[in-house]
Amino acid sequence: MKKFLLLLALCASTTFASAANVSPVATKCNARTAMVLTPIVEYQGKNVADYILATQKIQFPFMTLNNTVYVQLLIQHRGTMPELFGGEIITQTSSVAAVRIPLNSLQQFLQQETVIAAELSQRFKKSMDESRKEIGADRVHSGQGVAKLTGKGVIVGVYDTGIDTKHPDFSTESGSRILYLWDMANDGKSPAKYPWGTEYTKADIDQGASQEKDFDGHGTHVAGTAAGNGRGKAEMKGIAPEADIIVVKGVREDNESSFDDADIIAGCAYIFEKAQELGKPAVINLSLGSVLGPHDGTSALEIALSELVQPGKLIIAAAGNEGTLPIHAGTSYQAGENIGTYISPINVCDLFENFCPDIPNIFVTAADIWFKGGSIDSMYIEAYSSTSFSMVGRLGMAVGDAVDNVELNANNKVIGYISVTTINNSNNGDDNSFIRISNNGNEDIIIDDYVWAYRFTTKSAGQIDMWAGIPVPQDLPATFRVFTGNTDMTIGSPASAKKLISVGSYVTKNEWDSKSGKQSGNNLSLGVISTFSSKGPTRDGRIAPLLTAPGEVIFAAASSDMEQDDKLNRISPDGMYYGIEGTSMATPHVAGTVALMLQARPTLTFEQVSDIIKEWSRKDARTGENLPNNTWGYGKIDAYFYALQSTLTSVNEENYTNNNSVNIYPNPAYDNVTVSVADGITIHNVMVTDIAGNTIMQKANTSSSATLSSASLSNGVYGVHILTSAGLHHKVLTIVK
Amino acid sequence: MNCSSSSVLEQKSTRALRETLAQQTAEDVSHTVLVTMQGFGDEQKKEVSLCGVSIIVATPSVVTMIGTREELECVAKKPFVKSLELSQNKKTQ
Repeated sequence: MKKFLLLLALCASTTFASAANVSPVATKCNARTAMVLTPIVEYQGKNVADYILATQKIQFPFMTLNNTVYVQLLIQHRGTMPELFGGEIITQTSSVAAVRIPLNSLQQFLQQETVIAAELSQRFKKSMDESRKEIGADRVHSGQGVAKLTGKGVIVGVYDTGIDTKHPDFSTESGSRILYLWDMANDGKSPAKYPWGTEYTKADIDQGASQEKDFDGHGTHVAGTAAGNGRGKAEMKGIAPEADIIVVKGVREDNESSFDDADIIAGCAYIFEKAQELGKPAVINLSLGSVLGPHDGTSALEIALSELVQPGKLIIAAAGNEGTLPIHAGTSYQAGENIGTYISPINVCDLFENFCPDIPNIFVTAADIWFKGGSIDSMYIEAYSSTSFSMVGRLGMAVGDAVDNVELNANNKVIGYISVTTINNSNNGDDNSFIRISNNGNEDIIIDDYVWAYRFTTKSAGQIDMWAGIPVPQDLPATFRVFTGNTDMTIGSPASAKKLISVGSYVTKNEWDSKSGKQSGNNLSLGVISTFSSKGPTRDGRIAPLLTAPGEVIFAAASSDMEQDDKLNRISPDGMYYGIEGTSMATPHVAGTVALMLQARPTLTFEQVSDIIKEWSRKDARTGENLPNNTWGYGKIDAYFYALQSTLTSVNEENYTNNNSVNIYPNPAYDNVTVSVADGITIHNVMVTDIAGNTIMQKANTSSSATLSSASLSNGVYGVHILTSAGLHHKVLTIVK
Repeated sequence: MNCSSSSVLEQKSTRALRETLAQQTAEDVSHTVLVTMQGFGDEQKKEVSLCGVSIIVATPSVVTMIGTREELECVAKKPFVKSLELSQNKKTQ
């Protein structure tokens, strides 16, 4: 938030400087956008599209569609969407939208009072180095304005589908960077505490004794993002390139890509135990999840993982990829209400492994329903004709009644078999009902021929939330109060755990080179939220995800053991890197960044890291001003500021008292103040805080002295915090005017 | 060891485990479960171990274990056991 105020001040001064220019381009666009668009809109008296055509500037973000020239913009607006003058919305959040506007109408579009700001869409960059730069990790690696941090001395733990131990990004001249590798899929010499799978040490890997393979490629990719060192290709370096790596291949079969809750806990415990033995801090990447569960951090998995988190031992989890699916529906209710929702059923057998009986033609639709406070009297499962919307069948029950595979008939034929279980969950005290509607493998029973309604009569006031499938978009006639579906609370588990850091995804690439030529990502705009990125809040009301990071499209290490022929358009020309998207890909950007933070301060707690993220995440035109929210969390990852804050708090008494080598003058000061240190020592950063500890100004630096303007400071006493190559120093500054 | 009553197990099982146990009639089939406790120390570990389950890993209030229905019934009857959840799948994201 402090940084936001500083940025706000900068933006305000920019607006003031351009206020004399009446052009909406000058007043509503950033400098880069204004530079490009000003000569176009000032091409007075002529068709601006002709200008574009004449100057042959038909390249992104300009495009021709049906002989009309459009420009693609990211806009901030207030209230409803402004008039688009024949353009269209590409994607939008509540106050930010990516739009395509006819160039001839650009002036009119920008002149609308509801358009607050506009930026040209940017094209994406071609490799991992762009997402690394985007989050500020390069500055941290090279020590620009902050101590140089690369993850050295920190364990990056990856619990996933395995790792390609032969990929050059996971080794140095001294051999493998992987200190331990536990392969749960293949039995051999298992870890001492865990009697399954095979454990390999660094020595085993160096001697070529590891038989482990990552057939899926997912684990290799996330490990590359978090900790790859770019030995295969320097620009593909990951976020913590000098961290040590511990990998748990958490699948029980080589070709699987799903993980068992109990194994996840064991895998994380194993990584932390190894880190403890080595005397190193550790961060674990969990690019996995499921949308089932209480969504309040009280599942046993989430409790267990939260309990594994300790000072210097942190876990990062993917928010989930359900952001486009309005599978959640919820409402608060009063006593004596009749409420319900219409559902277009989806076959959950395709979504959840081992969820359905292994029989041909099986179709099961399901609803996971949670009640907080209040009680429910009766529950009804109703089938409606999808053409006439008349009810054709109904099953009613008192809540708590066990219903097991009961036939529901319509017009003398079975239209589904219904099971309902309701329990009181002792971890959170809430009632939990689970509904299954199945065809039991009978292909003549077509569940999705019907619209289904789940309806409830209420006894006392409370809140219902259900995860049930896709809601029916039409306004159907109803004899009850309808609550409709939305994408809220699509955050998965274990991301909703109380002590895990949950990560959403935004776009940082839409164009890349591949083995099958140049590819593009369907007009994705730079910096916007990934549409798939799951949203919060958690059911107990916490903001989720905590933050967002680059997750679409990310190029990182490709496993040589995975099938590549079917994904040539995603494989880099050299075959060593692979481009995919998902909150899975965003998560290791955060895991790597937390490794940098742990290098600066090895005992950082979950609460400290969360506080830094909450205060120092990035806000921009794409996130909008209204942060935190349940799409972006507290904003975009900022490795530079996170690392800087971790460094600034990593002080000891010696640092605090060792002030003799720092000079600050004049003091008292008026309009300028200079800080200097002895030759040979570098000042990385100078921060000025008020007596309440609020950051007033900050300056990055690369020499042995730094001068700051104190003109804007009022009379009073301030703290000056100087980060140098010799340590952190604190001085008192007095301003007198 | 008297572990015959199944009602406590049903009461303390979350939905997926209850459904699995209802469908699974064979008594000797083992299930991997996550058991939430009101604290898990040496004393609790000793008591749970006597039920015959195999403990995989424990945090201060969650223990993952493998056991048959009879063994889990025995665990569920311990007063410090809050709930039993079936270990379920998570997928890559």
